[in-house]
Parts: sequence; structure tokens; C-alpha cells
Amino acid sequence: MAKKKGNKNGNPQNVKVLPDTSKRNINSQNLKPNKETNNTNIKKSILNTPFHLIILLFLYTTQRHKFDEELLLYLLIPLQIIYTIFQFSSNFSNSNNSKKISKRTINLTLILVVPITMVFAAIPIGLLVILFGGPILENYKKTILLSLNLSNLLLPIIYLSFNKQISIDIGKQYAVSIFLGCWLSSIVIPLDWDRPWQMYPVPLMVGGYLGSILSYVLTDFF
Amino acid sequence: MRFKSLLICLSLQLAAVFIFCIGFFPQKSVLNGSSTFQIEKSLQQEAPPVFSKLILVVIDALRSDFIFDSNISNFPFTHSLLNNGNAWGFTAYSNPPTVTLPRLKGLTTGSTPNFLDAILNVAEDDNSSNLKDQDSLLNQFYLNNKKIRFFGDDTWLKLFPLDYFEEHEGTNSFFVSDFTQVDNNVTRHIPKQLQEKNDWDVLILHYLGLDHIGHKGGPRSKFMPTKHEEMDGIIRQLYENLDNDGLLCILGDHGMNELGNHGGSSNGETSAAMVFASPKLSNFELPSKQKEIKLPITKPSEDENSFKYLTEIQQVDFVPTIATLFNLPIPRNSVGIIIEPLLKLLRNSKLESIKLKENYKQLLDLAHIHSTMDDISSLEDFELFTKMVSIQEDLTRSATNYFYEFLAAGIISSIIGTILYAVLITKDLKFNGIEIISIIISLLIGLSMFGSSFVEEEHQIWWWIVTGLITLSLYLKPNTKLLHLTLFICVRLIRGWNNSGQKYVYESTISNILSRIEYKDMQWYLILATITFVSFNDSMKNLPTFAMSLSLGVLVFSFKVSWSITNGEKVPFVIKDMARTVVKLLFPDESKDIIFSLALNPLAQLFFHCTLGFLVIKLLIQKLKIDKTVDNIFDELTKVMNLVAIMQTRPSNIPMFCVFEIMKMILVKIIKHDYNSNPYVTSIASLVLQHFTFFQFGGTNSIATVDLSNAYNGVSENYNIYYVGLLMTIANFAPSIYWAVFSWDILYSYDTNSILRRQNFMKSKVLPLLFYFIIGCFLFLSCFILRYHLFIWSVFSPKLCYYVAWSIFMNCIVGWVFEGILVLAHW
Repeated sequence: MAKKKGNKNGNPQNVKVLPDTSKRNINSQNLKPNKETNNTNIKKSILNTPFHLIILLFLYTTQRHKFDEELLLYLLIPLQIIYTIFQFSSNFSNSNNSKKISKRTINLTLILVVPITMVFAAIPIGLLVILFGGPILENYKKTILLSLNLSNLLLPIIYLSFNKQISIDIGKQYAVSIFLGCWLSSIVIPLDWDRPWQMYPVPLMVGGYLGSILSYVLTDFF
Repeated sequence: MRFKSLLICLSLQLAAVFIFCIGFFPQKSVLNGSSTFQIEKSLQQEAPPVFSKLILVVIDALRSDFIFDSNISNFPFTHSLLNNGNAWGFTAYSNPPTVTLPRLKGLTTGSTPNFLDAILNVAEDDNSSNLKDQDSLLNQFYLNNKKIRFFGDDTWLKLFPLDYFEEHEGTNSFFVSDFTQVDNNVTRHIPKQLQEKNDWDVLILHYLGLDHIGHKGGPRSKFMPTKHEEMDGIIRQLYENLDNDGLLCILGDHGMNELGNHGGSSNGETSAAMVFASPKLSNFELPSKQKEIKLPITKPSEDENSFKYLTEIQQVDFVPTIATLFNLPIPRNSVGIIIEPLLKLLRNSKLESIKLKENYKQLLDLAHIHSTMDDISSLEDFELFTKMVSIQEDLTRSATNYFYEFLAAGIISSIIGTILYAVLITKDLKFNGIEIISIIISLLIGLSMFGSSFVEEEHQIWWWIVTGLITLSLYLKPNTKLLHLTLFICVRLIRGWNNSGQKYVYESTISNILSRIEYKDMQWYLILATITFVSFNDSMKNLPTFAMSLSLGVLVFSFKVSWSITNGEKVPFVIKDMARTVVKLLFPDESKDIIFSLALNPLAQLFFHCTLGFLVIKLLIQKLKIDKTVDNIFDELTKVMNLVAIMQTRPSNIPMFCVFEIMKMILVKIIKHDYNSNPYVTSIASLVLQHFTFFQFGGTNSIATVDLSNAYNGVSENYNIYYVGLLMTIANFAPSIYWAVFSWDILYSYDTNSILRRQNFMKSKVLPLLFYFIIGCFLFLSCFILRYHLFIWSVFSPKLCYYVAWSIFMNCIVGWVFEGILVLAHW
């Protein structure tokens, strides 16, 4: 019964951004009329493509340490932070005051805070994975690693939400695409091909990574 | 859409199912009459038999590793026989369906099984599977005036005419949890038979205990080692009394999977052990694969799950081999090939060659291939073997003939029906959301019918659909987050309750945990809580309803407790005492624990009679309008149906009804408030949950998981097969019945009048019928296209049977007939 759909529903943001919302409220009210401009203001650049995720996915599926979620997690965290600092956040700018934002792009305190919050984001994600069928008593280590990986895929988004560079609605799109990636890919689990990549949580990892790569790339076009 | 056209479509769907099944499950063509020697008749008749005495020990579900593998086997004496050359071991491939009746047919007639046999295995007193007109080893022994004695599983006595046996006693497997008595009833005959060993030629013993242990606790049950030793002791006793011309065969009719069930085609289920033992064998050369191997074998771990040890043979090869060794003609329908090393026992190369040619000729006749003696006699021995193997493969594959006219008619009528029906309902529904969702679900399940693994793991797809639908519903109605979340937690609990499918077997399912000794008490408290909750939830409205719920609830509870005590399970003291108080009412004079087994049948009968009586009285009151105050009988009948479902559920699953009850309250709330009691939404929710819970109760699409433990509730010795069949169907569809009945709360609630009820009844049937129509098309097509597929008999045919059961029992009988009568009673 190893079907599990991992997913995250924007819960991470809900949970951790909530304390922040009170402050943001005024801000977001101001922003509301600008919401659409907000969206369009993403700088479209081929460099937005998360090449590091593609490489990690490649490593995960083909290299010697095949399907090692733990190793992948250690590589993912620093790479995501670097990506957030140098590429991703600089491409999201608030139309109101893009100059100010550019100063804010490298907010080191936040960069440090975010990985810690990721660990807490992993808890609702893990619960969601379990709710969708992830094993609790057996293989629970894999469930934990899976949710940590998935939560870190959201790192740039959460950072930007903290930094008030994007609205939660945009963040949700990313989360939903990761969720859909996981949910759709879990269909391969029952097939009787007996391949190692059918074992939990490999399809969900791959699905989640693909979902997040796709969402980052798609922002370039839509 | 009018009611009449809906009814016509339903009959069209059932007719298509019926026609297709006639074409798909024909009786196998068999050759009648007994065979005689065909080649060099006189020479063969005069040849001396190698052995003159046969002891056949069939140990039910004796998987190959139970005898051969050092990890699990506890047969020290058998190992010593194998090691000093007095016994030769084989791994015998037993053709699916791996259940006892077809396998016994295979072991005696040598034919490959007909799929229908698997079903008839359940319908035990049916005699259409009788072998009195078919040639078999027993028939040949009988015709040659050998005296046969038989002790063991009474399936044999149903298969063969009783005059074959000079002496016999059958045991039956009424209680699967009986591990010892059932075997002692066989073993107690052995001393007498060994004393009289000059009075018989063939002694057949069939032990069921090991199979029972497997069903109950799996192959690694703690009862296994002792059972192995007991069987080994019996083998020692028999072998030590064996003369030089005696042959002792120990074999399993089939194996078992890691859960201890069987019926399917996994390696464990199809690999049975077969051992030939005789003092004579040490004079001959060992089979090549047994040379230089010390038993028991320790396998490398990567090869652990193949269950292949020593020489691999087909189980049916047993038939021509025994016929040859006892110098009998090979039974006509046998597809077996003489086992090569054992052929050498003839010690006469000319005779060996004649026997081989005889075997070849018999196979040719069976395959309807014409040949002349010259063709045969010119062949060398090794050529004969290769030719026979290819004939055997052909014969095994085409064991049945399909009626193509019926297949085509079935497929075409179901496709035309589906298209017509889809067009008809689309006029009304105009492709609104719920119709599209039901079409997507049907297509998803329909397409999955083409993959054997998706059929085996159908529960995964349903789980996928359930999670998807709840998420979708949450997305559509975001203001009911908490209700949806609770619903989600409930379905997750249900999913964790049991294993389903073949691929993943988890140790820590909730039902396994509850069955552990340390949580056994917990299970019983949960059962008590569930039955109380289901009986009294919402039944306090008026006195008659309360009295009815109370009495039925008490009966169910005391029956379940008595059943478990009779089966030797541990029940907490408090619970036992409660049940004893009830049971005492029936038998005031008895005070020992035997009271529970005495009360078993009366309790169940009382329960069913009360249910039936209640149903009839309610309908009459409603119809005659005697009691003006009772306007709605659905509430009470829902309660009755739920208790019937609990009655037919095994104890470890009963607490799930508590979760069901919570889910039901949430669903009723959501559907009433957020979906305006839409009958289409209700019917899809009901349909999806019926399937989802069916699989989560441990059901699969394999014959192996048909649950028989509740089929005999309240049935005494002379039982009626239809009654048992009905109880068995209810037992296997118990959760589905619950979820079919759940929609009554919404469709026919208090605020509906009889006209609205009729409309709701009709509307709620529209989409499920579409589902069954679409599934039918895909399933018929896949069965037709894959009719030569390796898994046709083990995966696709069982799925077809389940589909028939779903569409006849769940859709037609429960959904249309039963519910229809109740709705009409309100008219």
C-alpha cells in the first residue's frame, strides 16, 4: 500500500507566514490593485531555470549513490540558497519600488532564518504526505527525508514571501505544481515492473522535483 | 430520462455481461472413457510394475521451501532420506488457480484446470465438477482391481465415486482455525492401516492443518515448526513400514504466498513440494540436480523468492509417472510428461522407450494430432521429450475453447449499449461537472483493466481517486476545511487498516497490530464500542427502533464473541462475561465454555430471523399505513443493514465501521449543505467509497482473498448452497453494502416526499450504471485481446468474476431491486 502522494498545498506558507501577515496586511492591501503588475514584473530570463535542480535530479536517478535522499538534501539546501540569492530573488521585483527591492535582495538574516523555517515547513508537508498514504510505521525515515526535500524545494518562494517580494498567491502556484507532480507520479507505484525506481519515495521525489523545475521554468512564459 | 429507458439500459448491461460470460467460461472439452495401452499392448500388460504399493501423502499448501529450505523447513527425517538417496525431491509447478479442488483434479487426471473449478471449489457440494466420468489415476487403479483407502480432506470424496474407495473417512475444513483436530482425524487411522498393509494397494492421506495455519498466520506462523515436525513424524512412521516395493509420495497440492493465502499465480503459490521416497531409490542414480547437494538447502538471498529447488517439474507430470511406475495406462486427459529420472526405475531400456512413446501417443491424441505408429517409433527418446514439452505447452495454454460468437456478441452489445446510454444521459446532464468526473473515473478504471498489475493493485487507483476527489471537493468548497480534513484522516485510517493487492505487504497494518496478543484486548473494546455506536447512534427516537437496535446489536456482539472463543482466540474476561450473560439465556443449564460453541448457530439464526422479520413487518406497516406516525423506514433499515454488514465482517475489521460512521456523518453534512443533496454527487460518493472500502477490507481481484470465514454463520451440517453463497457474498461486500446504504440518508431523508424520493432514486442510479457500462466494455475487450496472456486465468478471469459480482449483486440486487422495493413501499 505504498501509495503516497506527497504534496504540499501552500501549507508551508500558511503556517509560517501567518505571524508575518499582520504586518503585511497593510502592505498587501496596497499591493492588491498591483497584483497583476506584480505578476508581470517577473524578469523573464532563461537564467531563471533552476539548473541546479535538473542536475540534482540527474544525480539522484543515475549516479552511483542511486536514490539517496539524504545526500540529495545536503546538496539541495546550499544550492537553493545560492539560487535564491543570485538569481531568483533578483528577478522578482515589486513594481512599486523596484530600486528599494534591489537593495533588499540579499537579506542575510532572512537567508539564515529561512532554512530553519524549512525544517518546520517539513512537518505539515510530512503530515500531508502521510495523509495521502505515506507510510508511518515502516519507512518513516523516507517520509521524513521526502518532506524535507520537498520543503526545501519551496525555499526560494518562502524567502520571497518573507521578503514581501511576491504575494502568497504566486507562491501557491509553485506549491501546487510540486503537489501535482508528486500526486501524478505516484501512479507508477503499483506497476509490477519491479524496478528500483518504483519504490517509495523515488516517484514522489522525482515528481516533486519535476513539478518545481516546471513551475520555475513556466514563470518565464506565463 | 424516463424510468423505462433506464430500466432497459440496465437489462442491456446485464445481458451483455451474461452473454460474454457464456462465451468466456465454457466447460472444458474432455475426452471421456478410460484409456488402455496403445503401443505393444501385450508386452506392456505383462511387464512387472516397479512398485506395487503406493502411499500418497498430500499436505495441503506444502510449499517447496517448507521441505527444502534451511530457513523454514523442519523436516529432519525427510532431509535425511533425501540426503542418503532414499528420496528424490522436486519442485512442482502447480497451475493456477492454486486452490485445492482444481489441483486435486490436476494431480489425479493430469489435466490443466478449468477456471470454473476455482469457483466450484467454493461451492463445495456442487457435483458438476465430479470426476466419475473422467479418466484418472484413481480410476485406473480401480479398474485394475487395486484397493484404495482414503483418509483426509473430503474434497476427494466429492470428486470421486465412493465405490473407488474400499475404506474412507473425510474430514472437512469447517473451521479454518482448527490446526490439530483436523489432522489427528487422519493420523489416527495410520496404525490400523499399517497393520493391515497387505489388504490395500493405495493409501491416500490428505492433511489440511498446514494450510489452516497458513491462512491464519502465514508461512512463518509460530505454529508452523511444530506442524512440520508432526508431518515429518508421520513420514517417518510411514517410511519405516515401507517395503522395498512400496512408494511413498509426499506432495503439496499448491503453495502459499507470504500472507498464507493461495489461489493466484505468484511464485510461492505455484511452487509446491513433491518428494518420492522408497528404499529402492538408493539403488539408482540421483537426479542430476540433487547430486552433491545437501538438504536442507540454504539459498542465496537474491534467489529467495523464486521457490525453485532441485529439479523443476510440472505437477501434472506426477500422473503419467505414477501410471508408468505402477504399469497402468496413462489417464486420457493427462497433459503430463513422465519425470525423466524416475523413468530409469524401469531398468529396461526397451520398456522405457515404449512407455515414452505411449506417453507421446496419449498426448497426441489429446491434442487431436493424427499420427501413425511409424512416425512415433522412429523417434529417439530425447526427441520425444522435446516434442512432448511443446505439446504440453500448447495444451496447457489452450485448455479451454472460447465461443467466439458469444464473445463478439457480448462485446458489441456492451459497446453499443454504452454509447447509447451515454448519449441518452448526456441529454439530461449536458456534460456537467459530475458527469465528467464520473466519466473520468470510469475511463481511468477501464483503462487499468489492460494492465495485469493495475488489476492486481486496483486498490491503489481507488485510493488515488479518493484523495483526488476529496482535494477537489475542498477546492470547490473551501469553507468546509475542517470537515474535509477530518474526512481525509478517516480515509487515511481506513487505508492503513489492511493490506490489499499482491505487491506490497506491510507488517504494521492496523488490523495486524490489533491482532497481536498485546493489543487483543484493545480490539475487543473497540468492537464493543463500534457495535454500541452503530446500534444506538441516532436510534433513540422511538421505542420500537430502540428495541430493535438493542436486540440486534446484542445478538451481533454475542455472536462475534462466541465465534472467536469457539475458534480459540483470546477474548478479554469482561467481554467474555458480557457475552456469557446473553448466551446463558439460550442455554440456562450449561456453564462451561462449550456454551459458546453450542450457541453459535442459534445466535446467528436468531439474528437473521429477527432481521428478516423486522424487514417484513416494517414493509407491511408502511404498505398498509397502519402506523401513520412512521413516515420514513429508511433510517431504521439503514441501521439493520449496517448491523448485517457487521455481522458478516471478521472481528479485526469491525472497528472500521466506527470510522465509517464518523465519515458518514461528515459526508451527509457536506453533501446536504454544500451540494444541496444532489443525488448525482451522492451516487458518485457512494460508488467510490463502495470500491475503496471493498479493497481496504482486504479484498482484491484475486480468488485467493475470497473470505469464507463468515459464509457459514448459522448454517448447520446440511446446508443450502444458495444460502451459503448469499452469506459469502454479503461477507465479502459488507463495507460496500454499508456505503450503498449510506446514500439513503441523503436521498430519502425526512424532508423529502415520495415523489422527490422516486426522482432521487432514479437520478442516483444514472451514473453508477454508466460506470458499470464503461468498465464492462474495457474489461470485455481486455479479456478478449489478452485471452492467450499468461495471466488470463490468474488475473483477468478473476477480475471478470468480480465484475460480474459487482454488477449483479451490488448494482442490480442491492442498488436496484432492494432499494427499489423500499422506495415503492413508500409510494
